[in-house]
Amino acid sequence: MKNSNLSRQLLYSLLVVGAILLPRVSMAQNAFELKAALTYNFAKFTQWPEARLNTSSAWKICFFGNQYHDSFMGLSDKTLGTQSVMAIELSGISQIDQCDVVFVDTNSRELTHRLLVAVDNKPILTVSDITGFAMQGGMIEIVEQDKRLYFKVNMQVVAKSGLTISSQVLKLALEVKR
Amino acid sequence: MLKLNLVSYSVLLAFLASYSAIANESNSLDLSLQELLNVEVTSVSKQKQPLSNSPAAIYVITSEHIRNSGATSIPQVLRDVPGLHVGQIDSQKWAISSRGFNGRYNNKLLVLMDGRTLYSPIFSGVYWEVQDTLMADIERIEVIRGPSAAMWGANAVNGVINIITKHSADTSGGYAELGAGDYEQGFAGFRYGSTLSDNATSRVYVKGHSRDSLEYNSQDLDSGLAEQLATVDKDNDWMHLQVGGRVDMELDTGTSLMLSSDVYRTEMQQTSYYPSLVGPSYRDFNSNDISSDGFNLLSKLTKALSPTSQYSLQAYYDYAKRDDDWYGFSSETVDVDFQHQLLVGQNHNIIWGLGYRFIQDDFDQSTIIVSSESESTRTNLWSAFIRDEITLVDDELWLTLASRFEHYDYTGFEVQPNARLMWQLNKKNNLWASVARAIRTPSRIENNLSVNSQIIPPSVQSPLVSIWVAGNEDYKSEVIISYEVGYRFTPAKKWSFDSTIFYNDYDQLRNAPAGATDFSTFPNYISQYLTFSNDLDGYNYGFELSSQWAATDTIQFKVNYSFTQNEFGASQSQNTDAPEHMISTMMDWSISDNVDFNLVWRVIDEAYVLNINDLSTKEIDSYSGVDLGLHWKVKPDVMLSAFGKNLLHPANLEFEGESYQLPYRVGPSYYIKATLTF
Repeated sequence: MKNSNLSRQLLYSLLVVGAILLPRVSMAQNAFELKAALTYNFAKFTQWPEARLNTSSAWKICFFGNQYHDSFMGLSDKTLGTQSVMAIELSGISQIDQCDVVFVDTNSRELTHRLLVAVDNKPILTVSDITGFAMQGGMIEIVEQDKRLYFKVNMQVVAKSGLTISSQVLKLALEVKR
Repeated sequence: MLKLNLVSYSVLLAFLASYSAIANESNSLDLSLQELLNVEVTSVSKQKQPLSNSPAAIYVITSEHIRNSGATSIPQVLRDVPGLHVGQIDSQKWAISSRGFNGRYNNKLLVLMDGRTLYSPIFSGVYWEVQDTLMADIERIEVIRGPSAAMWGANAVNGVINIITKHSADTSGGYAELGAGDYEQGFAGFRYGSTLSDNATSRVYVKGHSRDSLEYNSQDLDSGLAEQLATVDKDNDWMHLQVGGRVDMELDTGTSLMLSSDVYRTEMQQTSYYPSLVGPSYRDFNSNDISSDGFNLLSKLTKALSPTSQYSLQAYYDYAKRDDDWYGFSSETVDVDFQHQLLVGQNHNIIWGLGYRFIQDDFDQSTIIVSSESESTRTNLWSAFIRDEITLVDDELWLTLASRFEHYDYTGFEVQPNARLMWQLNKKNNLWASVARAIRTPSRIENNLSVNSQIIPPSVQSPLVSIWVAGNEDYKSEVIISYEVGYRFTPAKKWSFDSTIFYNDYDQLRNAPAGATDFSTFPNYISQYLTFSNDLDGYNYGFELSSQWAATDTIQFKVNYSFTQNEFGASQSQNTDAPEHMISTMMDWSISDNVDFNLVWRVIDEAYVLNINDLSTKEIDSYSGVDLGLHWKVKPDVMLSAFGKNLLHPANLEFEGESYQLPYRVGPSYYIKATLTF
C-alpha cells in the first residue's frame, strides 16, 4: 500500500512538472509559423473593397522565400469570410497582380523596390519582416524584439490602396505612421 | 480516496493534453492576433541558409556564422569556405585565393565591399590588412569560386568575394564590443544607428585593434639567411583604427539612395631582406614601422521604373596610400557603374550595364623598385556587359548567356563570355553547368616597373650580378577557360549537399625568361633582366563539396571539402598549386537558450610557395587546427564569449610571402569578448 502511494505521488509530481514545463515549450513557436499566422490575421482584420468581396475566387496569400513554404502552406485549409484561402509561393514580381496579400521575407530586400512599384495604389496588402519596410512604403512591418513579434503599420500607404485596417489591429501596433 | 485520485489524474491529463495540442499541431494559425503577439519566438534571427539557386559554385557566409566564429577581421572569417585557401603570413598579412594561384600578391581573385573593388592596382592583389569594417555590420559574404568575369569584369578569374554590409535600418541602436587575449591584445568596436527622418536611417561606427607579432622560428629559413638575420628585430605587430558610416534614404516609392564612407589608418611592424650590392651578405635586413591610410566614399541610387525594370547608378572614390620599407604607393580610383535589369516577355531576365574606372597612382621609386614610366600614371578602364537569363522550360530549365567587353589602357579590347545552364530536376535535385572565358589584366608592376629580386655574389667565373624582374609594355592578359558542373542534392529537409567539379585551362600565364644584360656598370657589377612574358600554360581540376546537416533543432553540422589537382610547368614565376586536400568540419550547438558552443576542425594539405629571392619552390607542411567558441548570453543585451583558435596543434607555417618576407608561425591563441547592445 505504501509502495503504490509512493508511485502515485511520483506520477503526480511528474504530471505537475510536465504541466508546468510543457506550456513553456509549446507556447514558444518557430518564427516562420508565427509570421505566416500574423499575415493571415492581418488579412482577416482588413476591410476589402466591395469589388473584391463580390468576386467569388479564393483569397490568395502570396509569399517569397522558400524557407516559409511549409508555414504558409498551412494556411491552405483556412477561410476568410466565405471564401477559402490559397497560399502561393512567388518566384517573381510579375505574378503579383493575382495576389490579395503579399509577404516578403528579409532575405528578399532587393525585391522591394520593384514590389512596391508593382503594388502601388492597388488593394494588395503588403507584409514583411524587412526592417524599414513600413518606412520604405510597405503596409505592415513585422518586428522581432526580445523574442516577441510586434508590428508597425504605414497608414498612408494603406489609405491610398483602398484598404482599411481594423482599429483592433491598429490598437496592437507598435507604431502607426499616419 | 482512490476516486479522488482518479479525478485529479484525469484533470491533470486533460490539462496536459490541451497544451500538447498547441505544441504538436503548431496551431499558431488558430491563435488570435493578440495571442500571437504574446507567443515567444524560438528561432529569433536564426534564418535558415537556403541552398543557392544560382548556377555557380557559390557559398554564403551568414552574419550568424560571423558572430559564432568570433572573427575580428575579414580574412579570419574566410577560412573554412570550401575551395578557398586562406594562409596567414604574419600578424597582418594574408594570402587568400580559390582554386590555386595563392599568394600575398595573388591577382586572380576579385574582392568587393558593397560594390567597391578592394584590390590595389599596383599588384592587383588585396592588402587584406586594410580591408575592414565592423564585423557585426556585415550582412553576408558571398564567395563565388570560378570565373564570374562576364558579370564582374577582369580579375574575377578564380573567384569573387563579395562583402555586403547591413542596411542601416537593420543596425539601429547602440552596439559595443570589447575584447582581449594573447594574439588579439585588445580590440574595441562601437556603432550607433539612428533614424534620421521619416525616410532615412543611418549608422556610424568606430573600430580599432592591436595585435601581437606572430612567432618567428629560425628553422623556417635557410641556415645562412637565419644567421644573418639573428640580430634583426622580427616584430610584426599590427594596429588598426577605422571610422565609417552609412546612410540609407527612401526618396520615393521604389527609389532609394545609399551613401557610405570609411577612413582608416593602420600601423605595422615589418621585417624584410632586400638585395644589396654590398657584401658579404649582399642583402639588407631591416625592421621598420610601416603604415597605410585610406578613405572611400560611395553612393548608390536604385530606382524601380516598373514592376519588371530597375536600374542602379553607383559612383565611388577610393584613396589608398602605403608607406612600405622600400617604396611608397598611393592610388586614387574613381568608378562609375550603371546597371539596368529588366524582364522581357515571359522568359528573358536581362541585366546590362556600363562602367568607367579611372585610376591615378603615384609611386615612389627606390633602389630596388624603379619605374620606366613617370612616377605617376593614369589608366582608364571602360566596360560594358549584358546577361540574359532565359527560361527554356518553366521552373525546370534555364540558360544564361553573358558577356563583358572591356577596354583597358594596358591591354586594349577584351571579351569575356560565359554560358550557364541550370536544370532543376525536381525539388531535391538540381544540376548546373558552365563554360566561361575570363582574363586577368596586368597590373602596373607587370607593365612598367622593375624589381631587383636578387644579387648573385661574384665568383671566379663571373662578376657581381644584379637580377631584375622587369615589366613589359607588351605583356598581355592571362587567360582562363573554365568548365564547371555543379550538383545540389537535398535528400531531406535538414540535410543538403552542394558539389562542384571544375576544369580550368590557363593560357598566356606569366613567366620571366632572361632578357637584356646591362654591362654599363661592369666591372663593378652587371645587371641581368628577367622580362615578364606570357609563355606558360597549364591546367588544374578538382572537386568541392559542402554539406549541412541540422541533426536537431539545436545542433548543426557542416563539412566542407575540396580536392585540387595541379598541372603546371615547373618554371613558373607565380604560385600556381592549390593544396590538394582541404577539409573543415563545423558544429554549432545551442546548449541552452543562453549558451552556444561552436567547434571547427580543419586540415589543410601541404602548399608550395615560390621564393622570388632565388626563384626556388618551398614546401609548406600540411597542418590542422581546432577553433572553439563559447557564448553566454548573460542578459538579453549582454553577451560574453571566449574563443580558442588553432588549438591542439603546435604553431606552424600557414603560408610564406613571395618576396623579401620572413616566415612566421601561426599558433594557438585565446581571447575573450563582451558585447553590449542598447
